[in-house]
Amino acid sequence: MRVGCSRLQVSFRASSGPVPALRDLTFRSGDGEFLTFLGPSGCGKTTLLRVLAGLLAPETGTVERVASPDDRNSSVLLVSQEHSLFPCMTASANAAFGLEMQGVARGEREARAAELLARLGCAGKERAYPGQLSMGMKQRVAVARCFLGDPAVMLMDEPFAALDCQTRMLLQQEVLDLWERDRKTVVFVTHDVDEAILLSDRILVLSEGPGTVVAEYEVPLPRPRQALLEIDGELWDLKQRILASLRVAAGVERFACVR
Amino acid sequence: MRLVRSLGARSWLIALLLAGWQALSTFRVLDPLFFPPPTKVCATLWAMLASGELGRQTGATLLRAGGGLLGGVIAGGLTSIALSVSARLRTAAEPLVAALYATPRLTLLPMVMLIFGVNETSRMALVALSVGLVIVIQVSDAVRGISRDYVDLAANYGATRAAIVRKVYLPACLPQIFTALRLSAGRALVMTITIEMLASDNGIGSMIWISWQTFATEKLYASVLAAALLGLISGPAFHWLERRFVPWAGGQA
Repeated sequence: MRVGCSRLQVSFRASSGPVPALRDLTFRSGDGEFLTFLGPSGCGKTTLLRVLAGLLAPETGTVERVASPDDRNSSVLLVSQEHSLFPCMTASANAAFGLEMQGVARGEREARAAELLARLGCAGKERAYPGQLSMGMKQRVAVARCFLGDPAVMLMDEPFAALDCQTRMLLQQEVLDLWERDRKTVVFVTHDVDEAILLSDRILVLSEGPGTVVAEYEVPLPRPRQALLEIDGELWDLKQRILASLRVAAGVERFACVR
Repeated sequence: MRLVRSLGARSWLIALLLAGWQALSTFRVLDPLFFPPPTKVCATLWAMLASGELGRQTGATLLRAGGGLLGGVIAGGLTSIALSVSARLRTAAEPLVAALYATPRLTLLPMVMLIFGVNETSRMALVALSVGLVIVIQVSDAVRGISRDYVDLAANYGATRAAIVRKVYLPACLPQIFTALRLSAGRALVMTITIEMLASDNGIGSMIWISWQTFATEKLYASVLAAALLGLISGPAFHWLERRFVPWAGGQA
């Protein structure tokens, strides 16, 4: 499935009047593309994902979803930063929530959840409740749930932000491997340039809030990729260009980036 | 060893008071007619237990309190669901609930007896009312406290409305329901024993009242002791139930 939006505008109501979060934002993902939005905090990244997930209605502008023939379903799943797990379900039940809603039998659900949780480094935590898990563990369970839900589009809101650098690298590798098997469209949000380069096919840089796209970069790295990435040569140039555009992201002219 | 130490830490003051009482009563500083020594009270309690009277009366009280509790949980639960589903009903019911909550429930006893008659139904109905009110208030708070994010999350994964109620609302309310249960269990006991003092011919409350009227002080103290023990047990019993049914409430969410 391809997702995108055109001339999107979203504001939040505050006592002092509406505060714009996104303005005139246009983009379109490719089919099976790993697309990353990179931007400073407060640029409306989370808001954008909530709009794409259908949890927030845009003020003006439209959201597009174009199905493709190899979609198994039309679901768009979000891995959010906060309130990502149901507090009353075990890690296993949380991970298998999508399967449960699809009517998969309990035995199969638990087996598949256990397998994926083990891959993501949560072996032995299946029976734990979110209140007993660290932030990093919770995020892994949330990522597992998203992959088990087998959506046509995955939306990920800084899923690795709360992790130490060692764990982050392990998880990035697992997510790369899981994703490269199946290549469903991903819209990923981060403020980490290295992470964006490592994971993405294409990077869109957002301006400071209200967010709009100010720059676009293709990442010329072959797949499958390795999380232990040396950023040198061509990639180093790319990183410098991205960093430069992040520095000027605070309010320069708009960069058209419709594919 | 830890158990012994914790028992010691919890009971030395009680032991000291009892010993003092025993001494004062034995040496006639206190009139044993009014203040029978604890040994005599315990002997009476034992005799009541042996004769089966204590079991019978406690059973009657527990049956009433339990029936009232059960009725209150069911009525309170159903009301809570109705109130969470309909905003219009909620707005209209709020002042009613607040007024009932502020009224001492015991003052309603004559009215309830007028409606149901002087029988078991009245007694249980009043206990059920005081339990139900606590449940309604707790559950309304719980429903209001559920983050919209969880509902969105479930909907995002294709949950139907029924599934959202089952998977999000109900589990989120369970901890509050159990807190309400624990609070209400004590309340139900107090309420039952009070009602028995006023309008019953069996149960611990009635036993206390009859002992008072016949000046059977040893039996009076023994009955009060039985009531106190019952209250002491009900707290931990519901804690245990809560840990079994709401295992996630232990850690921070």
